[in-house]
Amino acid sequence: MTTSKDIRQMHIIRPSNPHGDRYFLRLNLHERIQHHATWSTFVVLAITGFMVEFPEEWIKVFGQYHEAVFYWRGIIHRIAAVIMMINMAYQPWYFICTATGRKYFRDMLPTLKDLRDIKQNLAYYIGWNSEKPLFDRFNYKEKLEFWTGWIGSIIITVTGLFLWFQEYFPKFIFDVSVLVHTMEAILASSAILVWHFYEVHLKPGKFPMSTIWLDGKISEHELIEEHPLEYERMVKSEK
Amino acid sequence: MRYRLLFLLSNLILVFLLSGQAFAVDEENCLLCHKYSGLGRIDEKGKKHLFYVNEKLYNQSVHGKIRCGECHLGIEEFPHKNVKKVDCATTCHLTDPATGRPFSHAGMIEKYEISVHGKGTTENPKKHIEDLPTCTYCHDNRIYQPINKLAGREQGIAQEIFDRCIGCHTNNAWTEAFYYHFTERLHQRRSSQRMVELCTSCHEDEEKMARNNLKPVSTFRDTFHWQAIKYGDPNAPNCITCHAPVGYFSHEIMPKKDARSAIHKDNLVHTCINQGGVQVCHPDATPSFAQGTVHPYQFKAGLFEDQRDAQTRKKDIEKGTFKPFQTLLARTLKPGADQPVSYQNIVMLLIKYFYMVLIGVLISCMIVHQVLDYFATKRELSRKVTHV
Repeated sequence: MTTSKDIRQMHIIRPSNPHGDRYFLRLNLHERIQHHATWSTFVVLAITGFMVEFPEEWIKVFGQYHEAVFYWRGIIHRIAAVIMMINMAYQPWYFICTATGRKYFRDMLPTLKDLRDIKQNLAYYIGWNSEKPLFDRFNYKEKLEFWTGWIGSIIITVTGLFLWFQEYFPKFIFDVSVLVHTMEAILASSAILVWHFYEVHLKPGKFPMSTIWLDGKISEHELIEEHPLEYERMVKSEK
Repeated sequence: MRYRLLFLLSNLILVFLLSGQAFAVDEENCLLCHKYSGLGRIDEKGKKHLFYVNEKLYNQSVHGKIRCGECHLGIEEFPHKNVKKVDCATTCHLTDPATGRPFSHAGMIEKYEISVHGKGTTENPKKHIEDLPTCTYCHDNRIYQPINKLAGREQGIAQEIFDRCIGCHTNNAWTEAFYYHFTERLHQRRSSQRMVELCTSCHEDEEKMARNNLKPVSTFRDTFHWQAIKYGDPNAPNCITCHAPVGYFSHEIMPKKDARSAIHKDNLVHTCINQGGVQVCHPDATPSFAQGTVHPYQFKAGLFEDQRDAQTRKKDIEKGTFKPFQTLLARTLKPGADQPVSYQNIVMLLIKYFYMVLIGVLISCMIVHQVLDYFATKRELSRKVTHV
């Protein structure tokens, strides 16, 4: 069933210049807001969080303000955490209550095709296979990022809440939370750096960055290159 | 020659007369010789002893009003012979204004000797007396450091406050000394960081701790308490905050199993709350929150490890004693270990190793994937360029 909103999602943005590139909507306003909330809180949380682990020598750069820095570090970390949790509630609402959200969620579900894609793509990378797999709206890299991101966010939120309200729980839960919170943060930060930053910033042709996160638009040639099945469907629905 | 000597002597007398305060304290005229910064000797063992006294600094110190002979007993001839080692329990001729009796640290030392740091009782003396901290291990003759933020004066006197004293207490020198004593006592002597340094100077020494059947506390630096100290939070908890909180006394620290100890299992909730302290720390602390151990866990990822930990590990690797998995097993098999704690330790270590493997494997796979992707994309782009 396609609703009017669904069609708007698939709308093709025509260029003012007839020879210019056609653009397709890849991230709508909801999704862009969610992405902005995610990346900004992630950066703030990572910086204010890892500040706890700074060696003593690094703290000297704060000079006489080290005390205030530590105080505000805690406050800012909690504010960012609350925004992150609101965002984590916003996303399920979007996935359940809007047609575009429901479609987004359905497209994000892992399928058997993803496993075949991984196999084919790795074979393509090392030259065993001359053809790249044809990706749908979300490829296995994006699905992996989405789902590990969700699992990681839940783990880090739960342990973070245990740390915040430590007095109401046994000491052992606190100790486990400190450990898991730290390790999960290291895992998430390094995964973001290697996986996501490469994909949208460092990849040849993308540098300095892909602009989809700003205006939500993907150019036609990029869509054909990266999500051919999605392109086909969009063009078909246009007719 | 004689005139020269006379000139020198007259000069000396003049100096002594001018520095009235110093003259009052140095009645025995010790500074006649001891003011020379080169004064010292090398003993039979080749150890250097410095006998120089900086008069200005001494006068500003907590003992600045006490004559040398009060503590340095047995000085009767030149050069000094049979000088006794300074004993802090000596009764000095200073009158305690509270009692009107001669002052002494003996009462304090009595309490200290029965504490965990004391020499033990006659029936049950400590084995390694040389490892125990004596008075001077922690206490030097400190320079007064009164609260000076009010006026920002170098000397630490806030004139507005001092003026309230000298209306009645007209003897300026005495009032100043009293003011210094009082204001110095109003705040913590050492910063939390210095306090941790002092305690860990023994308690992080693995050999010394093993000899005395104790565990080294290097893992205090894994706790959030230490992170707050590192950032200079003035209310951050140091060793004393929990081992001698409000209602306890730093000279009477008791072993963990003693009911008088702040970290005895029945007193832990009270210690965590710190009711009545400068800062109430964990006001909602429950018995289950206060149970368990604060610093014997060793679980941090090691990415940001302390230089000290890295050195111990390096030593272990050199000696060939670094076996992480055997350490894990040893924790379970160690007889007499606190069972729930050692069980918890294993859970913690398993989580730690799970994450270390997960991070290692996942991130390496990601890096390999992205490097392959990089070359494939490059290949694709160059193909496209040649095609065009």
